[in-house]
Amino acid sequence: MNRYIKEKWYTLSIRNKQLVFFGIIIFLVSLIWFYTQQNTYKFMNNYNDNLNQYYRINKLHGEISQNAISIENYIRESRQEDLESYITSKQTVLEILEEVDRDVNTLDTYLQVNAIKSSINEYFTACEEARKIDRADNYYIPLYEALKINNYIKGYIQQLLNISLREGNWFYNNELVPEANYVRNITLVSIILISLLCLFFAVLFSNYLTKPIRHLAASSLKMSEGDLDIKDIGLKSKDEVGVLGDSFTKMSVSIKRMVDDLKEKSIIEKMLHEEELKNVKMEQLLKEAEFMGLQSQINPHFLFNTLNIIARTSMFENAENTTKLILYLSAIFRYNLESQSDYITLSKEIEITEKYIYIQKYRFGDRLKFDVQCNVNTDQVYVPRFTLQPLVENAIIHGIEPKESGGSLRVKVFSKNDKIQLRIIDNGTGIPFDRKVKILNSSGDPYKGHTTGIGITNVMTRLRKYLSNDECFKIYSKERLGTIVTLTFPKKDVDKLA
Amino acid sequence: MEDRTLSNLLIHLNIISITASRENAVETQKLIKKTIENIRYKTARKGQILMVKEELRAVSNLIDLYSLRFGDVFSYKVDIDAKCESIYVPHYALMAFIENSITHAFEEKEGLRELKLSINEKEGFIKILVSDNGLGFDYDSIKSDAAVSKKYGSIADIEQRLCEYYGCKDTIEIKSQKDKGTDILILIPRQGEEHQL
Repeated sequence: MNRYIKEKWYTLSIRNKQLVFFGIIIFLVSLIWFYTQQNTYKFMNNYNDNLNQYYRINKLHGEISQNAISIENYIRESRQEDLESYITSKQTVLEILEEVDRDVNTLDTYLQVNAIKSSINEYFTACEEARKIDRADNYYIPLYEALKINNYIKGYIQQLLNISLREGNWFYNNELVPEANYVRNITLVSIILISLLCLFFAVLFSNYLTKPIRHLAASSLKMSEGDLDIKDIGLKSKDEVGVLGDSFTKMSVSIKRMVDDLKEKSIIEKMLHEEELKNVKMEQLLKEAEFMGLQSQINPHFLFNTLNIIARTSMFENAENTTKLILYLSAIFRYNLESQSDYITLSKEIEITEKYIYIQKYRFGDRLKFDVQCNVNTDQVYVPRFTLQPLVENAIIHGIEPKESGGSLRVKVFSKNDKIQLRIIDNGTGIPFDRKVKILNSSGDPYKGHTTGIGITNVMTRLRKYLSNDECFKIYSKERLGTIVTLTFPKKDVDKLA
Repeated sequence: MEDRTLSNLLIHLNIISITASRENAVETQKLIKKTIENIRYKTARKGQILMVKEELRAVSNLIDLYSLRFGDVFSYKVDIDAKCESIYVPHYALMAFIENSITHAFEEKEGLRELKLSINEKEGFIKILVSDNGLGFDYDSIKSDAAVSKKYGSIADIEQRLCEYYGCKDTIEIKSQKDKGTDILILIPRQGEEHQL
């Protein structure tokens, strides 16, 4: 039964719950009101009865006196109207007596009323007697008798009134006042009880209503802060708040699912994007490497062709050195233009570098010494394009050119721990430490090369990306002593490419 | 940085030029000098307003270098009214079209390559005509390519600079037929002395 009510209660809507509650309260209040009203009415009735009794007794007293006067007058003066007055008065007295007798409810009053009754009977008998006696006789004797009785009756009636008043007083003091007090107390207690009940229900209701709402609010706050791990709010009821809680839980679950989906998607997308970015970056770097700097200003094909024509002309003029220089320069350009493959043999790189050095020697003369030390087969070592020449150029321009006495440059290729190491060693001015750190940490390309537009950062970034390894590019440098740039290529990568 | 790359190239060419002079290779030296001038003209005078005379010198440099390679299949005709040599045009207003003809129109051309340049005055207008018998092209398709049309030396760029300088519209007219050739007509108003300072 209890459970049934509980279940029923949970399924009620908030409105119906409130209606039920208010219904109960109204019912209780009207019950109390009805009860007190009933009591008041009872008291009033009682009181009224008492008052009526007093009034009747008083009236009886008056009527009896009137009756005595009427009979006295009649007997003395024998007037018909006095007789009539006597008769109606008698009738009234009897009627009132009857009424008084009807309302008698205690022994004292009963005895008194009986005494009055018999006295009145006596009195009326005496009166009738007095009426019958002839005027000539001692008619006044029964009259006086009657008047005497009448006086007694008056005394009795007075006594009855006193008794009644006393009884009324007693009744008022011993019955009505405690009853009224009792009713007052009952009312007070009920009002307090109902107030408490109301208060209790109000607290219960507000708790019942606001607790899940507070819970919801806290949960939604948590959710808005990004915490989507909302546990079931745990509302048992099926009313509006319950619906709210249920849908909130459902919503949070679906949002969580959506967010998870999104996260998963975004991770995949991020991976894709990173891959793409890497490719784009590679392409961009290679493009930079592809002689772009020059291309926007002069047409390298045209230049290359022109150089070849000039080389031919110089050949006709038997200028051997000139021819060689021009051919080397055009070879460097051609190398720059042939950018189909990303990898190239190390021997080709070295060849281009040597051509570059050859031209540079015309510029630097004895100030520049260069040699290559190599103990591996460079034809089978593949390196990314434009690796060696930009580094050598860098070493010449920044390391050797500023030095008045010039310097020497050595490229060393050797195999170490299954890896190919390439070292570019110069005894130039060296790189200050902070600049070195800046170079190694930069991912952009602030330092561009001069002949091909490829700078040291470009080479470094490309190498790191190709080999996915930050250790492949290292700089050792001491100011005023020189610099060593070390590139490391894994052999297996080389085999794969070969 | 691009400029340093370029100046490095010029340094290299200079080294070669010196070597050539040491080896008495006069012709080689001349050619290298022309190449250097060609590069210098293009890069160092960017954005300037120049006399037609100077443009013509650069054109003849370029033509000289070009005819070294294709001398036997290349014919170049010039017809220039001497009065017009001192008018002013934006840098590369002529060179751009000569370069286009050489590098694009003649690239895959078979047979004789003919290039004509004429400048004359007519009814208050200076009329510059560059015509080739090359491959021809569809200007509208190039125009829509923002990367090309915004580049320095592109047709749109030259037209814009011409219009800015002369304060007029539609200065360049292009007539091109596939495999038949292209005529570029530049019409600029002949103005008073103020442009001949």
